[in-house]
Amino acid sequence: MGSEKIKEFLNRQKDALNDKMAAELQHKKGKLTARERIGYLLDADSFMELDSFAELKNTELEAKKREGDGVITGHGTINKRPVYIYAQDFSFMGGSMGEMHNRKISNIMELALKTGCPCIGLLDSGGARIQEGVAALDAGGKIFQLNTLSSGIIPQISAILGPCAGIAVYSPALTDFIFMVKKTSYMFITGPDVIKTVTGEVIDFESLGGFEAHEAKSGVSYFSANSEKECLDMIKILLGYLPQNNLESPPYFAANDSASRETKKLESIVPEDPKKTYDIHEVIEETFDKKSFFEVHPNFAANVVVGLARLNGNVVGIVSNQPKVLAGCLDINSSDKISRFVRFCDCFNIPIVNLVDVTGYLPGTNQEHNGIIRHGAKILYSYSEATVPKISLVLRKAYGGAYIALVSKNMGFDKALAWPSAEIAVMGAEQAVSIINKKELAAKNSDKLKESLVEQYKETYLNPYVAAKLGAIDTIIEPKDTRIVLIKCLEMLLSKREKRPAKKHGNIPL
Amino acid sequence: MEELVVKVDGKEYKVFVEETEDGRVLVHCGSDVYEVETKKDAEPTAIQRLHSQQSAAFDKFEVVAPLPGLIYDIKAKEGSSVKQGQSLFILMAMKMENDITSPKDGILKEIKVKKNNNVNRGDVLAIIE
Repeated sequence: MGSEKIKEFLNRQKDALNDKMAAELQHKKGKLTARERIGYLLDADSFMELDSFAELKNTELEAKKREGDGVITGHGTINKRPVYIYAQDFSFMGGSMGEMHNRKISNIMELALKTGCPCIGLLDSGGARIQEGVAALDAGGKIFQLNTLSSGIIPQISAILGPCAGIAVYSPALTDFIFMVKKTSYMFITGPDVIKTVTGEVIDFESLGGFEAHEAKSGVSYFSANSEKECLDMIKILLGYLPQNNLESPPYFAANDSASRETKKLESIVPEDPKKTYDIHEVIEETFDKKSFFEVHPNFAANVVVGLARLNGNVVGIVSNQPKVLAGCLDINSSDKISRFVRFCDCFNIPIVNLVDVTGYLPGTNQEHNGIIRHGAKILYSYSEATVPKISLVLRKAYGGAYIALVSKNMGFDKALAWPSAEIAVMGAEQAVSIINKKELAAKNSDKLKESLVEQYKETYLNPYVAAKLGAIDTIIEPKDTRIVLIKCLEMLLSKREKRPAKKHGNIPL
Repeated sequence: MEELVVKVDGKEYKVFVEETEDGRVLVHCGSDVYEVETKKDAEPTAIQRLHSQQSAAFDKFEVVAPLPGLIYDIKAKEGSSVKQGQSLFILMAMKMENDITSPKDGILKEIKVKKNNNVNRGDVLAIIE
């Protein structure tokens, strides 16, 4: 083969891979280009680009076409683990999703699924490319189908690194985790202009679909980073907890923390007075492997704290109540947050540890009319469905339905532990007495009588021994042994295998 | 037609106000049209600023009850300066003493509740300036 052919190829490739136009646009805005983002995230020299010569077919846009059609796709490694990745290039037609653009993305998604490798999307797009019409939309449909077919087979991660509007948001919405960057990312279906035309409402990009709206209000975003590079760093950290696919166990990293470390500090973190609140983060930090906690959804439904951590090197998913927010009670948003996280852990063989201190469900017509019944049921469904090891530790309160959802062995928890301070009952003392002793109190309305009945109830019911007698709690432990015991339980359960009856899929309340 | 920005239930809308030949007043909002009654010589009422957690432009900030309960204790004095995260109230709810903290640094301009008041979720407890 003559050297001319090679020269021609090298020239064409130089044009195709030319990042100059992207750099001019993005750097002006203080942002990275798609190629720079991939370069930063992946191991050096590991990236192999696919379809760099793909071009749009639409004759109307013939003059504007560019190689690559506005998205960089391919595969490489992150910390030596193979991953598939795509990054949209906002400098080409606003990163809009044309037919070939979408085909490129679905190509690597198909490969990721076939090879069982995580798939990462770096989004930066104004939405569908209007001129390409149905061709673009239909090709987008293939992306959504692949997101769905891959769901629960390979981890799928999306980072919103710019605008993400219209159909562009649906692929991230189908993935396992969405990252946003403060003041850089926006996500919405209909933008401010359309909203103003139809309903007259005036609102800016940031308030409508910026990181604050999605991390705290909608719960669409799971993580907020301060910068693009921090976002990409966080993706690397997250991947460190996840297996390549659902047929593998999560990666084990030997802990820099002894398995026999006592946790006496827990006695003072959790106040003796059950009416006083505390920060569950302190309990998590003291118990799990040092500095191993990676919180998920930190600013959404803060009355519940969930995230990934390690116990003696093994990855676990933590679900816990946060007593200092909304008294640690459950509500609609926290039901969604828990269920989503539990089901993710179950997909990828991550054992779950519950730290329970819950007073009940948030009362109010707002909760009732917005469906706390069906949202709360999601928690029951997710835990019952899960076949990963499930360990529950009751720190203080565990009342009523919340007890069943987070602790019940009959509902599927493998181990139910409790501290001596545990209060496990259908409901609290005052409420219970007002119902059980209604007649007595109606006949003789005395504060002293009520007080003595309440004390009696507390002594009889509000302790872990009633539950332990029935086998509902199988082990009562001292707070200082929490870490030691959790590690023993976890390591004993790692080989757990559980079957479920074969079915197409269940009908989880949604 | 006059263009106005109006606030209804905390949301802003750009509207066009039209006075028809037969003296009716129509308000065009997006694709909807509403007929409204107008008051002449009405007393100007103080416009209450609704707080927005993202907007630093508003200098009044309302501290609201996150859940229904009883004001168990008031931890700061009216007129004193407070720091973000400082405990302002203890709200007894769900059998727990819940810490209601200040969302930002400022002056505790007004305390709107008394000890042993029952409050609902969303009730304004204090104003920080």
